[in-house]
Amino acid sequence: MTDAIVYLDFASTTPLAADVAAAMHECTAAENIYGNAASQHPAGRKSALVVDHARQQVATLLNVEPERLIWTSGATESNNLAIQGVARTRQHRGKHLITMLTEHKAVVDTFRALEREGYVVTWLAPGEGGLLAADVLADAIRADTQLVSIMHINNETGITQNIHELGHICRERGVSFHVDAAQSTGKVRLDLSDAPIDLLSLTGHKFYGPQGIGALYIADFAAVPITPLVFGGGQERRLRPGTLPVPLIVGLGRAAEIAHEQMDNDLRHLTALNRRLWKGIADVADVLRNGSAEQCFPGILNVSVADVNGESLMLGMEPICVSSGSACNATSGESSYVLRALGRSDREADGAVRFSFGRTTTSDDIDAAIERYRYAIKQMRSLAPGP
Amino acid sequence: MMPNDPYNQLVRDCFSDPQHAGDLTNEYQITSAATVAESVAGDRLTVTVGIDDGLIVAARFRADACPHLIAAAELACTDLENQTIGGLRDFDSHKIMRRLSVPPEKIGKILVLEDVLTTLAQQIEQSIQE
Repeated sequence: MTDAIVYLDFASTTPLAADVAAAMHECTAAENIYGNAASQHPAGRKSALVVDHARQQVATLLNVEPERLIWTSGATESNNLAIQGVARTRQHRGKHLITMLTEHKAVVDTFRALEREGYVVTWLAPGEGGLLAADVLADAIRADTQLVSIMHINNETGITQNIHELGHICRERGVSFHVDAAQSTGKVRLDLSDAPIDLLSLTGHKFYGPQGIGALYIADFAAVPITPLVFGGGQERRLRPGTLPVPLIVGLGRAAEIAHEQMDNDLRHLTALNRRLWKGIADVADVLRNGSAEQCFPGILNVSVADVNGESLMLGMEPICVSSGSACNATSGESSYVLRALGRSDREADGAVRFSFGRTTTSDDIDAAIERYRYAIKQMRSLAPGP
Repeated sequence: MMPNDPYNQLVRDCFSDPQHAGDLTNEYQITSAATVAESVAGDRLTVTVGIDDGLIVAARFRADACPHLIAAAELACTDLENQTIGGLRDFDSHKIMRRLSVPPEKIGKILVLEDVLTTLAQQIEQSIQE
C-alpha cells in the first residue's frame, strides 16, 4: 500500500491551480500591482482594473452582469451576509425564515443565531433521496416568510437540489431565495441569467482558487436590500467594506475562467473516478452509499458502514486524506447531522467516509483509496469484540 | 505531533500495530473476560486476562472504539502482564491518559477501560472465592 499522501478531500478545499498561482504572482510581482483598488490615483486605478477584470471572469462563469457580484472572504461570509442581511432588512415585515436540516454549518449556525434573536426558522427535512420536494417548500412558506435558503450541492453527500424549481416556488410567492453554491460554483453549469435566484454564495478555494476570497451574487440590489454586517468604508456598494485583497481576487477570477473552460472535461473526469471508486468498494460487506449516483454531484462519494468506529476508520485510512461523517473526534460527540437527517442511524453516520476528488485526481489515487479503505475496514472488523 | 494532529506517536504506534489484540484460550488456571459497551458513541471494549498462581500472565483486548481507547487498551494489557490480580484494581488510567496525551473531550471514553478492568477484578475475585 502507498505511504504517499493521496488527497481526496476536494470538497473541503482544492489545491491552487498552477495557472491561478501564476496569475496571482504576475499581479503582485511581475505587474507590481499593490495599490488600494478604492484609491483614485494611478496605482489604485491599476488595481481597480484587474479587480474589474476578475469580476467579469466570475460573472462570465455565472452568466450574470459583473455589477451583481460583491467580494467577500468566502462562502461563510457570503452566507452570513445574505441570510442576516435580508432578515434584518425585512424584520419589520416578518421574521419567518426557511432552510433545510442538511445545510452547511455556515448556514445552520447563522439561522440558529437569528433564532436566538427572535426570528422563527422552519427547518425542512429532506425527502426521498435527500431532495427537498417543491410542494414541501410551498407548504412551508407563510405570509410573513422573508427568506428561503437552500444549498445547491450538499458538501457531505453531493446530493444536488433542484434550485430552479425551488426558486420558482419562492418567486411565485414573493419570497427571497438564497442559494449556498459553495460546492457547485465552478463545478457544474450555473446560468443565473434567468434563474429565479436572488442571492448566491460562492468561494474560490472550492474550485482551485485561493482561500480567503469569495463572492455574493445579488440579482437585484433594490429588490433584495441587504443590511451589511460590518461597517467602515464604501467598498462593494457599502455592503462589504474593507480594502479589497487584489491578488486573491485576481486568483478567483482566473480560477473562474479556467473552470468555465474545463467544466465539461472536469465533469467527465469526476464521473469516471466516481464510478471507479464505487465499483471498488461496493462489495465491502454492509457498505451503504449515502445519496444515489443519479442525485449526486460526481465529485463526492459518501459511504457508510455501521459496525466500524468512524474515527478509527479515518486513522486507519491514512495517508489517504478523506473526511469523516463523524464529529466525534472534535468536541460535539455527535455524528453527522446531515446523514442522520437522511435517515442514517448514529452508527451509520459515524462510520461514514466522504471521498471527494477533483481535476488533479488520478485513477491510481482512486485505486490507492480503494485498497486502503478495504484494508482499514478489515482491520477494524478483525479487532472488534464479538456481537 | 503535527499541528492539528489529535494523536501522539504512541497512539499511532499502538493503533497501527497492537501487540495485545485478540483472545486467550483456556490454558490458564483462570481465564476471565469482561466487555463494556459505552451507550452514546457505541464504543465496545473486551479485555481478557489469563491468570496462573495469582499472576496475570497474559492480557488481550478487542475493541470497536476510537484510536485513543484502542491505544489505552493496548498499553493497559502490556502493563497488566506479570502483575498480580490487584493490578486490575490499582490500574491508573490517568497515567495512561497522560502517556497518550488524551484530549479532555476524550477522557470519558477512556473510562470505559477502567470499567472493564473493574468488572474483570470483580469477576476474578468472585471466581477465586467460589
